[in-house]
Amino acid sequence: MPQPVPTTTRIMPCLDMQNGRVVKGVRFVQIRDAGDPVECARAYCHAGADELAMLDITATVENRPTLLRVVRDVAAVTTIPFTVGGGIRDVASAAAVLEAGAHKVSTSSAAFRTPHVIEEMVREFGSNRVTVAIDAAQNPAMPSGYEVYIDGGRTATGRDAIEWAKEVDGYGVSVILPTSKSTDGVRQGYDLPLIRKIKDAVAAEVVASGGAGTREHFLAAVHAGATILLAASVFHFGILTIPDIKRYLKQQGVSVRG
Amino acid sequence: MREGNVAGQFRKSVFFWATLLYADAAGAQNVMRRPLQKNRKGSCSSPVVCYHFPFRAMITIVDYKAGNLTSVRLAFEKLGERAVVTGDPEAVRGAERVVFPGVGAASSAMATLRRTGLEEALSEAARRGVPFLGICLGAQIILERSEEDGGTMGLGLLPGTARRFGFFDPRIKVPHMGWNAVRPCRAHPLFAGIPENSEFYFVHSYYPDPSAENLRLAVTEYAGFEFASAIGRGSLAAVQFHPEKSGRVGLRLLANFARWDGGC
Repeated sequence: MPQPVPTTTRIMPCLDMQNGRVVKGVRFVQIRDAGDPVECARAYCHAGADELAMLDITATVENRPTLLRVVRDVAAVTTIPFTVGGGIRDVASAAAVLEAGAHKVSTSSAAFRTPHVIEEMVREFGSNRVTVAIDAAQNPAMPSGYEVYIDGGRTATGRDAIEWAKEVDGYGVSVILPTSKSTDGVRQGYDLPLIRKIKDAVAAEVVASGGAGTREHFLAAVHAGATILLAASVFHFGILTIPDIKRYLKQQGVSVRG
Repeated sequence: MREGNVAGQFRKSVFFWATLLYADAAGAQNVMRRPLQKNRKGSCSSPVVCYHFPFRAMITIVDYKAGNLTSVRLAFEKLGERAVVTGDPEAVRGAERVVFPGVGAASSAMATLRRTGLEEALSEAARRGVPFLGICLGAQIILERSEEDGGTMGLGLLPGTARRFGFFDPRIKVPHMGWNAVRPCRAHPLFAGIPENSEFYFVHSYYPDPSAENLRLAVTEYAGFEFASAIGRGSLAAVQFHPEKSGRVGLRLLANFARWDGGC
């Protein structure tokens, strides 16, 4: 087990957006409706979420910019750090999202295709406001066993996920958000080996994403080295509540807010 | 009946303008009569404005291209306060209530402040004794100097230095990022109604180190090291954390600021 980092572990509900609605898929497909983004954001802030993420999941594949109207509406009710991803391809589109009220931006496909964009964003906005998301799926042909996917999980890149995480870390981003395609939306637990491998390879904070289903899954991700615990469907569909998870983590000796 | 109303409204209106004039005169006299340091001991310089005046002052958020200020403006809007984002030195000079936020590097921030004339405008606003709130980088560059970028001169509104966290243990992350407890050192209007050790959101590698103990308004511990997370004197206050991202307690602090008369 890695040494505990003296920062509080944060719970981060994630709003996956499509056509202005919160949706949630299983393994990046089988998308279903999960509510109104503004209502969700308000409810999660009230419930004690420590950060909020919003991903415009089809912006990149539809080759359009992030839906700024939704960012604006959600920002207007959000009182905690708010990360927006999806459709961010350069400094200008990131600046528009920040201007609309996001606190941080997350980039994935554009970062992979043109890594200098990461450097430019870090220079322009500071490392603390840039997150790089890495979608990964198991592939035994890769040295680490994980391959990077882009375009919302549609395109396999042939690049080793850990190698890519190391490169991203070298650009100085403060947070890396790996989502495992194999576990996303299945609620059978985070992909712990992926979290552990990335955490061991990078200095940035690592977000656990994809697969949370029980309180124990959150704890396991903390032990694997994640400091931010992202989840979507367990919160949207009321399977777990944020105070419940925090109470449990606290009992287990994890430092959480509130 | 109608005439009575008109007369009543006329009386009200006379009272309104008279109040305004009186408030202005009282404020101006006080500012001129007393030096800044001795100006603020327990009472407000202008009781009319502070306790009876029906409208709260416009909040001026200083824009000097150091980070986006949308979240700060949105936070005040959530509270129903009137806030304007401006980079105009004249507007800052005459502001009734100043919020000085910022993220990024101290040296480029200071260079921008000098180039745009905001440095003097901020000093002048602070000198006039209007309620002034620095946030994050704003809390660092109101000090005399910063260790950032090989040493940078600050605005010098408070004596002290912004220092970099110096941890030898590589497992301790810098920047200090996330939620952490804030413990007020003494009662201050900014922290009214906020329980001790409430958690606020931090993102920073440097921390304010004011040169006198009584300039520390609140402290926070990170990895066993205690630093000043809020500093201030008189009508000037600054917080190292981000109240605009700190949930309910953060909004409470901003609401306290919006109602603060600058005394403490």
